[in-house]
Amino acid sequence: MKWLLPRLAGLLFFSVFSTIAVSALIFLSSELYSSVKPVLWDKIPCTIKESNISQEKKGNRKYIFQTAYEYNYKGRIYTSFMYSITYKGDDKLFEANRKSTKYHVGKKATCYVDPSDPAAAVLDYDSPFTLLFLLIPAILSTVGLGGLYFTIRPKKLKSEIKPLTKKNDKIGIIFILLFFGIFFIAGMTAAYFTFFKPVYNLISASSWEPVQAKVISSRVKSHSDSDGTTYSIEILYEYKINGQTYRNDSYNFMNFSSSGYKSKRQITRQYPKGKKITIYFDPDNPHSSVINRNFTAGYLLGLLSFIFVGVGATGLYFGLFRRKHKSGKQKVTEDKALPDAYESLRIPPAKKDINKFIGSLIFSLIWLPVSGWVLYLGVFEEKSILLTIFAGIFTIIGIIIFSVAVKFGLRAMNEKPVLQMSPLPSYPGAQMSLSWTMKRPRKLPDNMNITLACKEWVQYTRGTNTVTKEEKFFEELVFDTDDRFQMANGSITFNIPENAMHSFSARHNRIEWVIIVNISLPGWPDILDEYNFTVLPDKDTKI
Amino acid sequence: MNNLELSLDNNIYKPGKTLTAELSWIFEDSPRSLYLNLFWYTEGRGTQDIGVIRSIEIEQSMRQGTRIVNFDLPEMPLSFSGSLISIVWAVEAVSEKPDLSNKINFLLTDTEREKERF
Repeated sequence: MKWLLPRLAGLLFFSVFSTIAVSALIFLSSELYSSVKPVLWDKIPCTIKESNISQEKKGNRKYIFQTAYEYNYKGRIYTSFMYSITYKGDDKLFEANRKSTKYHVGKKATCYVDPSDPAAAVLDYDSPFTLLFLLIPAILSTVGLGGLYFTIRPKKLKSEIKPLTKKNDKIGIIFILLFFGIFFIAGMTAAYFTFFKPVYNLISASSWEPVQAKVISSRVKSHSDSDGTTYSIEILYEYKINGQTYRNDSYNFMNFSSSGYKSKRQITRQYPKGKKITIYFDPDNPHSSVINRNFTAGYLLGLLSFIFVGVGATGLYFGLFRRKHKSGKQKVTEDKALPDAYESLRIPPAKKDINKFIGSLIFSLIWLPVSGWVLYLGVFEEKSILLTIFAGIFTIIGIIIFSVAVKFGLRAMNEKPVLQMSPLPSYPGAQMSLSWTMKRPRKLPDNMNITLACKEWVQYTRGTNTVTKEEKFFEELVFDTDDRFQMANGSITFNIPENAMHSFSARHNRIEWVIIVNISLPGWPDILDEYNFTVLPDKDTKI
Repeated sequence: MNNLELSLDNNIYKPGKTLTAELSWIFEDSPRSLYLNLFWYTEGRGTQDIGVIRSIEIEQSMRQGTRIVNFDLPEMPLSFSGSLISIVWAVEAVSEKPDLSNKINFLLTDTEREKERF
């Protein structure tokens, strides 16, 4: 019955998970298909009869491109008013303007007619690439249904040898690919919209031409939904290029809706109705214009999405490349299950500390400026409590990682004792001789002790994480002193127990014999190093 | 009716000694393959590791038969039972088409019992 509870929990979890994911997949498929299906309809020439822009009086006051066009389908004349199946209006006047210019009155255009209902036609349809959005619920559905399958499938009697490890690896790789792949894709998509696109527009706008414009209206637009209210700047302005009048409401390229009303209000106050201002327009497309083309700190907000990109890329790298690399080495063949080097004490502890120091330092030096900058934005520019809390949490994490880096750095600076031991490899019952020398440490130590220990070490996967766990099952203090002369140089003898288990080293499971040297340095990270050595089953064991 | 039977001459062995396994089988059709494997594997918290010491393929064409196989046992790893890891030795007969297997565990130890945490 021990296996029943986790199975029931898995069954419940994956049932709910897959139901939600599959429902989302079905709903999204239906929605996306209806927005894309005109691509399969008949392409027919049409003539635009009406083209104008109206603004909703209520709600978010969207700009709506209204059109009417005539087309001849199989000898009958039809009139349609539909721009596209999903079109409900534009948030930006610029977008509605573009449609109105493209489909001006009298223009000969192409419309798409539903062959099963010729009265239904559209001028435009969503790009078939939007179907790529189905990937996310499709992946989640696969994970859910896959989990359900592996939870409920009956366990077959199988050979211990052949399928086990390979199958686990395959499932792990698929899971890693899905999990971190979603992180990576979501991060890149967010980076495109919040960083690359605005910065690209900003760079392009540096060559745009200035022109006088008049402010028509100026306000902070609010957007309310179940998550609360957010705000965006809406400054509507009018300008003339070659005698033609254009209207637009583009303040800058980062005018996303966000919390923080005051800072936006301060900006709209600088642009009261009727004020003459200088705006910048694209000579190749005069509909495109912007009031503020200066770089502001807000453009760096998009860098946050690189955290997701980083998590995704790191997970994919370590989960796939490193794992594949390791699997390549795995072999289910004759195996003595011993460490590679068994005639010496192993592990250069200093190198480990330096690696950890460099790794955590680089990470924190990338992390801290980004999160710190966003914190600055939240406190001083956006004045948003939510952003401040969000960035504050990230900054605290960065500070913790930085302090860990400092600790590893200090530990790496410690002088390491040099140990010599014989006989090696060892065996149960052997009398061991251990000697050491140590240069003068940066801080005078107040205690040194040496412990002989044997521990079990295992590695396993939990979800997408690789977890290691170790547990000492034998521990014996063989030396302990407060005498600094003995700490600098010394030697001892001790015995390996008669009934000791020998060293064992496989890919995920080890039994390790270690000498643990612990030197206490007041006001400085202690020296705590483990030196690994090999114990064979017997004195006469042939390797 | 398919049947795959396996027996060992003992259940505790000393390192370097010989283990004798007797395999007998009856299949409705000739199996695609029939192997006898000597191996150790780990049990416990960690992902399972397996070390195959010897793998012997038995004649494929026979629907019925009996074989006695001698394995020379290695010096290590010895059988072990800890809190995170157990090292288990086994002989296993595996047939493909029909897919059957039969495994018998044994102790490889230099004392009367397997090594335990001390």
